Amino acid sequence: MRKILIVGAGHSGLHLAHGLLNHGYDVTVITGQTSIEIRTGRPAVTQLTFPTALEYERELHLDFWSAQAPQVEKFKIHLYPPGGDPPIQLTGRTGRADQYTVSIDRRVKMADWLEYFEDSGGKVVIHGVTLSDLDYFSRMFDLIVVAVGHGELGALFDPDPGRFTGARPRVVAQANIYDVAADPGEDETIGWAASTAEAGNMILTPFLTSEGPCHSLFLGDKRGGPMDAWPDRPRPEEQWRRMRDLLSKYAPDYYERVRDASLVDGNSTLVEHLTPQVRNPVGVLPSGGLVLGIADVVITMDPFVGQGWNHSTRCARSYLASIVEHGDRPFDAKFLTDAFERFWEYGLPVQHWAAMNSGLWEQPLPEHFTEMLAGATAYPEIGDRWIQGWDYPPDYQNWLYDPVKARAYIAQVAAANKHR
Amino acid sequence: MSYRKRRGSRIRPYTFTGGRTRSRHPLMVQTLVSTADPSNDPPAKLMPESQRIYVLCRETRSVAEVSAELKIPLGVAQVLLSDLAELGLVYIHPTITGNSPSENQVLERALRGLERLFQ
Repeated sequence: MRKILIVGAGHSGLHLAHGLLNHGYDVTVITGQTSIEIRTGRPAVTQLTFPTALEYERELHLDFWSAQAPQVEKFKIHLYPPGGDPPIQLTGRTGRADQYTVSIDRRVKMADWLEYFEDSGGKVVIHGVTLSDLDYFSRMFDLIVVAVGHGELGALFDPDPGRFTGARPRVVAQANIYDVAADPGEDETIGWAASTAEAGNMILTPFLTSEGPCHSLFLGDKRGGPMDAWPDRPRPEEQWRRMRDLLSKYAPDYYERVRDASLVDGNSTLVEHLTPQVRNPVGVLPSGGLVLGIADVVITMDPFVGQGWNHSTRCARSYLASIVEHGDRPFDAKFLTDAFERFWEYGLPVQHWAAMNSGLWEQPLPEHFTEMLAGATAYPEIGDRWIQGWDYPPDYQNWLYDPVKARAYIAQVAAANKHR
Repeated sequence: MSYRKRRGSRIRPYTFTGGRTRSRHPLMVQTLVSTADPSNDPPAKLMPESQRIYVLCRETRSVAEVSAELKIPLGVAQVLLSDLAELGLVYIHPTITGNSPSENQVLERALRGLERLFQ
């Protein structure tokens, strides 16, 4: 039985760990936090699980929450143009008629996945891993996958600027809140997302924490932008007050929904800085042993596009397929590089889409883009395809970026509707 | 306005009820470990480090002691011990973490310790 070590109990590491366990591998997860420490610790940036990722989790029996979580069937997008004009709006389904998206508190999800992994026969060791540990481990295991990107282990994976050039340092402020006012005429489970010309992005999504359902509000901006209002590390109530102030200025529709909301008890706010980038996926240990980085160890996504967990699920699933198909052959440098390149076929188009979103307002909106927005208002299927692109962003290259393809698609939808 | 603070809306953490075979004793630095059958020699198929742990733990040791005594990194000692426990060769003693649902355990251990002192 092949022995595999996974360093880090995050979303990608645990998804892969469960997948390998299901295939009969001897899997050890080593992580710095116990499940109780995860459960009671600080929040993380809120993530969405889109329908396809949710299906993948169900295949591994990892979806424990769908029955309790708000089932987000629709999302509404607001694009706030320069000059304070009213936003352009777009609504669509997050999946097919029988599908939905969920958003689960990382503390609930990772703690449960870690305990379930141990109960399923996986080995869990609680220890912050050092490079000297890893050097030793490279003799004891057939394969080491690194799933934590901070500290001295992160330094194993050099930035690879050749992969992607759209990096913009970001600041994120977030709050989990109760008593958000309904979107008139819409179901309570609808999610909202905004992109503004003058500040950054907002995401307001129904969310499941250990305290039950609530909303999670995300404000993201460039470092030093108008919504980077947290240099003095304000306390939670003050941060929440400033978040509402910023919404009243840059996204008044959002302000109207949250003006009477209040913070969820306990650790319910965060401020985080991050720089999107892509790193070399293969790390070399001092002794020459090799380790493979996964998901956000290798790719830090721009948080504007809400793809963190979609990326980590798809990366874990892609690595799992590569590992299983490799059989008993050694996990050498070529295998590790190929495993990443296979995932990157999906990852690269997602970066293109993230880059488009990151720089949306740096020039006037292209004409075909505005035409598509008008099309989405006229024909619900365009809005649906737009929102469902979050589930599988490579689809956008088939119809949104290129003016010729975009206009052909609008014409096709218009013709189909005329014959109805 | 339906997502509001409500008593009893807390979601229950995952619990595995159908036939868990071992209790969850996390291997912490201070966790005590001992060889399950101290009179036996270590199985020859074990890695040399694991054999040394097997011999050392004929007397109960903490994970930190095992690491220091055998000069292997702490994380490595934990992984080797977890493998030995999986094979049933090493016993991991329950550690009082402060999060234990039954603090009686703590009191009983203290009581037993006091009894030993005054025997």
